[in-house]
Amino acid sequence: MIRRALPHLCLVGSIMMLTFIVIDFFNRAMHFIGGNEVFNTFLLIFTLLVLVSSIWTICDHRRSQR
Amino acid sequence: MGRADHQNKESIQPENKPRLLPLPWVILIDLVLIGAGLIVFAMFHHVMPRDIQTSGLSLPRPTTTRTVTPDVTTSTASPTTASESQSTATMASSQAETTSAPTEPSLDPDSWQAKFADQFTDGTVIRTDQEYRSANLAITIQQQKRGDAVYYLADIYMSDIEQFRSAFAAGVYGRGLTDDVLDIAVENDAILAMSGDYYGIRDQGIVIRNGELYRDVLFDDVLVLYYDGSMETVEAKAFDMDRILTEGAWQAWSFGPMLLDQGEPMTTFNSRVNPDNPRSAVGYYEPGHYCFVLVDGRQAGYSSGMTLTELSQLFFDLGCSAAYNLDGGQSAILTFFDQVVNQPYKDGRKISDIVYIADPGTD
Repeated sequence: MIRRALPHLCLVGSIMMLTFIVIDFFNRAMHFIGGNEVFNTFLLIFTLLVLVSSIWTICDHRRSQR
Repeated sequence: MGRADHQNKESIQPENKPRLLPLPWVILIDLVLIGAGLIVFAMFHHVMPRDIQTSGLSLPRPTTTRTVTPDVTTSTASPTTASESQSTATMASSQAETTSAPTEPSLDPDSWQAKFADQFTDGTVIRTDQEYRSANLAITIQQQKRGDAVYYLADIYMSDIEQFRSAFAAGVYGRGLTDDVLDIAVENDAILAMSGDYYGIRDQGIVIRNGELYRDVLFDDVLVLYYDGSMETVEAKAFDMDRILTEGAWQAWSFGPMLLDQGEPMTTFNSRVNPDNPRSAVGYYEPGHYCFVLVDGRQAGYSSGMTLTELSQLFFDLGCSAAYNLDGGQSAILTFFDQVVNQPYKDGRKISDIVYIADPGTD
């Protein structure tokens, strides 16, 4: 159960994080993300990796279940 | 036996596999979870009231005045630009209400009251839908059109800096406390009011209101109004808290960006929200003479709004020496007494603070 739910939770979390990063990019006053540009870049890359990884895992699970 | 077991397993295994939800359902459930997550976050971040620890520092009126650098452009004339068409059609004219009041026996020649004597009355209060004049305050509101944007210009002369005030929603400094601009204005007996910097949505930004320091965490450009009536916009990298406190800050707002650089129009800003938008902004001519500009926008056929570049050019054309962008978009609302003057996008939104002009000496 957890194994099936985890990639979906990662997907949800990563899209939420991307939303905050995009909002913060256009309106820094929201200050969702820290002020360090290097950290922000790594966070963006990490979030995208989690997103891709979770989609990949979900697809793999579905394929193996068929 | 072994072969039979194996065959049996093969025939049973597919039935033991968990049933897969159809892909559209999986996507839908994930989207619902994302939406729910964002709503829960917004509830905690925007809506739920939270106490904020304030600096709690009261800033007294200084006995000495600060040195003001000469303005690049200074104008006391009525700020209208020739290329713009003035329209008061949407503002229903009303009969002027006049009230007699006792006149001041003597006048300090250095006071703003003497300096702007031609703007003030001798004690009579004149009030129409577009104008307010008393012995201490003069406000004129004009609706104007510039390109495909409709904006409202409130020209303000005052006799004392403490007439230029700000107010919090519910009268309390805190996160998540919001109210309609009109309601905050009416509660504070504001004559003219406009959306402020929505300090309550952030944890950062200098907040000095009515001579009290509430937050001293720097964030981007800052607008400072001093007790002596001078106003300056300060970039974050040049901001010096000690200096502005020493020089007698009466108000400080943090939203931005600043719209004029040494009185000159700007084309690049410390903001990424440059496209056409509803805007609210404050302009400064000289001590005692200010303007509020409210630009309507996002309304096809009526007004598309202004870019920051257009807004900067507008303040330059008006003759301001400093100008600063406050919270616009759906927050952009201008009120005059108990009426909303502009046409807010989607009827506006509740915000955490306003800037307003009061005339305490007159009921």
